[in-house]
Amino acid sequence: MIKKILILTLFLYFLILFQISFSAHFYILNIIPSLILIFTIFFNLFEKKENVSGIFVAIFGGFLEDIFSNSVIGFHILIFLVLSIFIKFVFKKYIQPVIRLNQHSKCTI
Amino acid sequence: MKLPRKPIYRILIFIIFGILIISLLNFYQKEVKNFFYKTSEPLQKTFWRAGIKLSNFFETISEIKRLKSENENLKLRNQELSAQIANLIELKKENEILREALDLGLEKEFKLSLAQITSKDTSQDFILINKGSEDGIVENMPVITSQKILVGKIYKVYKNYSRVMLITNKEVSFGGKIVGEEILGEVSGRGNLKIIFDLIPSEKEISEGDLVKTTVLGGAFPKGFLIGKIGKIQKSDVQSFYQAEISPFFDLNKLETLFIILNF
Repeated sequence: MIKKILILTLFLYFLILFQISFSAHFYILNIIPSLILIFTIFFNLFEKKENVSGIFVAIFGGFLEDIFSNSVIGFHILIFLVLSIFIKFVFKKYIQPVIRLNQHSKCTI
Repeated sequence: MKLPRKPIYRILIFIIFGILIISLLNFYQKEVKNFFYKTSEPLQKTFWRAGIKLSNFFETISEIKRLKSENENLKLRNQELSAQIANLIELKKENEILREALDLGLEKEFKLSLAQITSKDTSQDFILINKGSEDGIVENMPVITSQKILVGKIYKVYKNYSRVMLITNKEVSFGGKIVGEEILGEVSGRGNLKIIFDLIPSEKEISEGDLVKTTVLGGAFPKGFLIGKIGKIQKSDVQSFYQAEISPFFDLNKLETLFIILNF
């Protein structure tokens, strides 16, 4: 667990530096994609519901976004945390089963 | 004392603890941010340079065709300009003689401080430079390029770093003037690296490609610094003022160093 968190911490730190210093030169439609946000969404989507690493990714990712942007510390943490909780508990519990059920009924037809 | 084991208490303790830490971090926000910027600077510089190189490489590939025709045009323009320079040298000499005669002297130069860009915000209209309060930087100081092109102003100062609000930021507006004409207007940022030249009197005519420079109006920036050139003009016969887009002269993908005017 500690090893996983350490790896995630280092990865997120490199990702934010990559985002603000490297990928900042390649904007799409005048927007720099937030790699941290994309990573948080995918990490929470593919992680098991019982694991809490996704929450850590949201908190630490949000913290790094706050540090390297102009916002107050806590702004991105809150957004990422709400997003992570939404994916973990609402999307996986209520929306994903409905999608699966629809796909299954289409297959049987 | 034993910690309560029920999950709801754990979550509550976690939330209270989190809020406390965040409040504390916000209290020492400037110091915390400065610490992170300082420790990340070497890596950020490497990424920034690599980013510039790669973006220039892709730009060159996609623009080879355009560059060929532009090169032809530039060669012609170069010849024209060489002729103009020859004339100007003559005029400069004449001017110097006249200045000496009138005992005016040259204009007082600005006191400048050199800074390097370390990162760009995701919100885009802010950049971070490696000069801070320790180097005598204070808020609202104008930031320019070596070609005396206006980039923005100091927005927030940390110990070793400063955040620069670009002139394209929505919160920026100041007086501007068409170079060589007596046409004044308001230059205001529109976000996403866009600027407009607003409040141009409808009786005055401007055309695409006209250069815009700063004026003393508004007092935000010193006069005479280049901002950009006029792009698309939006004019209607009904209104007494009209506006035009400005394409800024500075290109963040090519910029590495900037100057801060210390004595404005």
